[in-house]
Amino acid sequence: MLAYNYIKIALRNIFRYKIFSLINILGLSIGFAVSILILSYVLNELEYDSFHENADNIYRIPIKGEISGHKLDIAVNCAPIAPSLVKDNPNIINYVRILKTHQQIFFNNNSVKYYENNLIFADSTFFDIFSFNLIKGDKNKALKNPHSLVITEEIAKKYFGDKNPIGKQLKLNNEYNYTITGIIKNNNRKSHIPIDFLASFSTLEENDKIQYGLDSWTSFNYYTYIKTSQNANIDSINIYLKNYLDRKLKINLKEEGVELIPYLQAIKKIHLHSKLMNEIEDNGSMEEIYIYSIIALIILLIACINFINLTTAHSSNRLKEVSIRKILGANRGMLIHQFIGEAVVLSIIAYTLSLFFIELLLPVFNNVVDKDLNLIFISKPYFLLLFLLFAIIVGIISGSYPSFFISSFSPVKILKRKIFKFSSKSRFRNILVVFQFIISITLIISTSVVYTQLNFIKNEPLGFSKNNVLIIPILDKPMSENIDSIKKAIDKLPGVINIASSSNIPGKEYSGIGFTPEGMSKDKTVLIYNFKADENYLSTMDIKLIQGRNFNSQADSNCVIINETLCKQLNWKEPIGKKLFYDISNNKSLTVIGVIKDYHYRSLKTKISPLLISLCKNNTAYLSIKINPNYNATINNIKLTWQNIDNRYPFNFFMLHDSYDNLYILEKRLGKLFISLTILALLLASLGLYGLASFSTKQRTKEIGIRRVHGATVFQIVMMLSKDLSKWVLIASFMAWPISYLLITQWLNHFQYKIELSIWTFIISTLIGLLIAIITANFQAIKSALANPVESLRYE
Amino acid sequence: MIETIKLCKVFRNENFETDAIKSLDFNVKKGEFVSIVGASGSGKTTLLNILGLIDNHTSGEFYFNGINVNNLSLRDKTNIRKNNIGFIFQSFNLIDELNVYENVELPLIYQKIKAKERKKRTEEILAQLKLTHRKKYFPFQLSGGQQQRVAIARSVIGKPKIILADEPTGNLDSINGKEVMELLANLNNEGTTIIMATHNISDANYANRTVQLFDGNIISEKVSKAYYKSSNFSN
Repeated sequence: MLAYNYIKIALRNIFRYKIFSLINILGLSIGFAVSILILSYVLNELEYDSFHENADNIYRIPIKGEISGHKLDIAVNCAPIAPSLVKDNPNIINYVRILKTHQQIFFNNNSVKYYENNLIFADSTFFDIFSFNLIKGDKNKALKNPHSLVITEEIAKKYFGDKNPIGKQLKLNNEYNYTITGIIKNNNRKSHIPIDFLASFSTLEENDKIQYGLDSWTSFNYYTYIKTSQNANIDSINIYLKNYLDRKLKINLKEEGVELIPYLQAIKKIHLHSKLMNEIEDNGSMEEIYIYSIIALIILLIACINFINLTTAHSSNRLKEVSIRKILGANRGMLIHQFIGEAVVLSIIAYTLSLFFIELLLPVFNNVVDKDLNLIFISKPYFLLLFLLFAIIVGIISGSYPSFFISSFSPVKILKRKIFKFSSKSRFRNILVVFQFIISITLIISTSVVYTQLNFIKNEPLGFSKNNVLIIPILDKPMSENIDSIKKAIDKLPGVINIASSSNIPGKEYSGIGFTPEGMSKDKTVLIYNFKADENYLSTMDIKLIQGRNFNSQADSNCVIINETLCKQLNWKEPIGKKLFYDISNNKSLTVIGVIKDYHYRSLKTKISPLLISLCKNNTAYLSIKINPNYNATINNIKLTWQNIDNRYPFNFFMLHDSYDNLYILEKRLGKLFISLTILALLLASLGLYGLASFSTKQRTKEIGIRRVHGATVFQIVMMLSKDLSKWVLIASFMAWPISYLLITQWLNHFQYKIELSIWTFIISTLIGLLIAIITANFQAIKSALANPVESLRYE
Repeated sequence: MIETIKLCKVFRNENFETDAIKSLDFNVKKGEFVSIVGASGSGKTTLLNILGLIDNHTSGEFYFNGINVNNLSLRDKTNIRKNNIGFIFQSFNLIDELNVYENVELPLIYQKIKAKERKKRTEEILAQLKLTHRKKYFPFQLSGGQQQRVAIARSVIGKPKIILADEPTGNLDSINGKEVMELLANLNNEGTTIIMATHNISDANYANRTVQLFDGNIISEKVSKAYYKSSNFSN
């Protein structure tokens, strides 16, 4: 059978031309492996929140709007809105609210104790709305009673080992006992809602309604989700929501200079499309998905280009066979089938090999993308067959050009010469090489810009000092009330330079309040971000005071320090002594006593907004300790001192520079991925170039020998062989420059503070590309040039 | 069987033009063994390539079995070639990736003969040419004489009406060369028409008729005594 004949020939050719086959198969299999890994990542991201049974009818209700010209788009809402909507609108049939703690918490069950970060409170309807897999417990009762706690399998194992935790207790912050009422399966990670500990909302209702603003329509802290009826018209619900807060507050918010519009956000769109303030957790990015997908295609394209180029160049070894087959009666169609068939065989071998590469590369890939992907889905027959079909299609496409090319030659032209040489100046092949290097150089330029920007972010003056600052989270009220004695004790320690307490630290989420500046009307309310701090905060963080004075006593409890941006926004040239009203009807205000230089209290991705600091009394959330650079001994001393004062919790701390740098995890991940894929793309392009150049050099062995016999030096031979290649790489560079420029300026626009692009980035990247190309391509040439000339001639 | 009338072949490139064949009138009857002799560059191989439908003539008429080849498409020429013509080359031109069995079988694959029939015929011809014990060998494992025997087996397995042999003994020593010529003579005796290009006079003497080419023209024609004895030739 013809097909059997083709497979046999394909396999024999693979063994006959080992290096060529190895380069081809390796290149394609790497291309397949990387594409499949990236596809698994993309699918994982796209599937977020799809597992809920009623996913298409579940919506979050964020708020967008304006406060005195300052735009607002927040993921949270007020507590009463959801139950009110269910009562008022028949299209909204259920709701669940979630409150997330933003501070660290402490859980223990007497023997096992840990600091944790992820505690959320949710209504008892949680399992009616979401389809998280409750493997133990009753979904109707698990979150009904106050102080009920549902945990994940992982957490259960951490605290209770193999014992059944249902009915057992965990203590929160050494104060509140929670009863375990349910266990969730660990595969909750494909949701934008992170769950480790899920407590009942009724706990908040029991504790302190006022503290949590459960009845307040103007306190926005709750992630609010609703389920609509099957045929609900979403547009009409959005219209209904538009003035809902106005109706409930019974005021015209616009007259107050405020616009607050709740709206529906489909749950499946949150993970990749939502970039609101106060997201429950850092979301992914659709842009990232596009970038990764494009890069996967590029890698595969480079692998296919290599295949086409190498197979075409190599086909001169097959010309005798082609001519004989034609003479013996094969028509062009048969030859095309044969060569495409061989390409498909190679592609299938490459695909099989790629499955091993995938297993090998998965841990590295997970590290780069910061996920815990498994590849269960690709072991399903459906996917395996789909990828096999994909490999066959790649084989057909990649094999087409060489097949048409090889089969086009006239047998008599081949027979007239003993050896038929293809011109190494084949235009199509050169176009493909240029294309590969456009991609490679674009990647080199992009990677260097990503890294430069990341370094810029890391080293850009922030207006405060994040290095050598140790942060201790303050977990509860007793600790907060004891803060002065803690500070006194720690301040005495050697190595401690300064110590301050505050309700917030740089890099965390900040909340804003509307203030009416002195001399302005009620409708000119300004949203100002704010937090509380003691008199040591500015010196501990090295924040510069440029006007007025610092806090110096409890008498300053109605005083505030503001930043430069607020001064500029209010057009205050002499801000000291001016008032900011937070309750203008009752004449309640705060007085400005000082102005600080702007500092980046949030990430460099956001512009510095107006900021206000008031004096910290009993609501400390963080202790910030400036210590000397050789801080191991100092930390130990602080730990011992802490344990002497408050041994209810194990000593817990983190360094400010670590938590601040975590703001750029997404960018770091992108940087890691970019460099990995750039190296891969360069490797593939170089592999292909090596194969092509080896072949081309072999073609010119006789010429090299003759030139050497007549006196050419090795250097002259290498220059002759690299001249053409260098020309093509330079052409590729100049084409890569505008493409790279467009891509990187678009990416850099995500940053408020960014690097200036320099021509040297482009020049150096081009030189790197050129160097790699020349070394790769001339490796074989140098070998040939160094050989005894008679060997070259004897070879012929 | 083959007839050319004022056949011409001109090779052209940017700088010059060569008349490889000049207004050649040539015919071969069925069952004949014709040898074309001449020095290098006389046009022997060019003529053979045209007769074998693997090259095109520039002008003139060429009839193959009564069919005017001038107007045939590439596909038609391929079909005529695979069903009627066998080729033997000086440099054997076996496919290196195929073993002896597969090389010999190849023409039958292109003729779409079924596997069972192919096996039968291949085994037969290998036995006939004493190649059965080498059937799994690859060309590089064979001597020159053995390779040429394989080429002959391949050329006859499709039961061609005519065999075109271009310097079949050119790369062989005298003993192997004689063996190959004996094979060709036997094939001719069995009825196969053979046209052979050679510059070896002793090889040419195996033929019934010898045609001498010089600069693309026939300058002489000689028939052997055997030609007159075997007068069963037809067109």
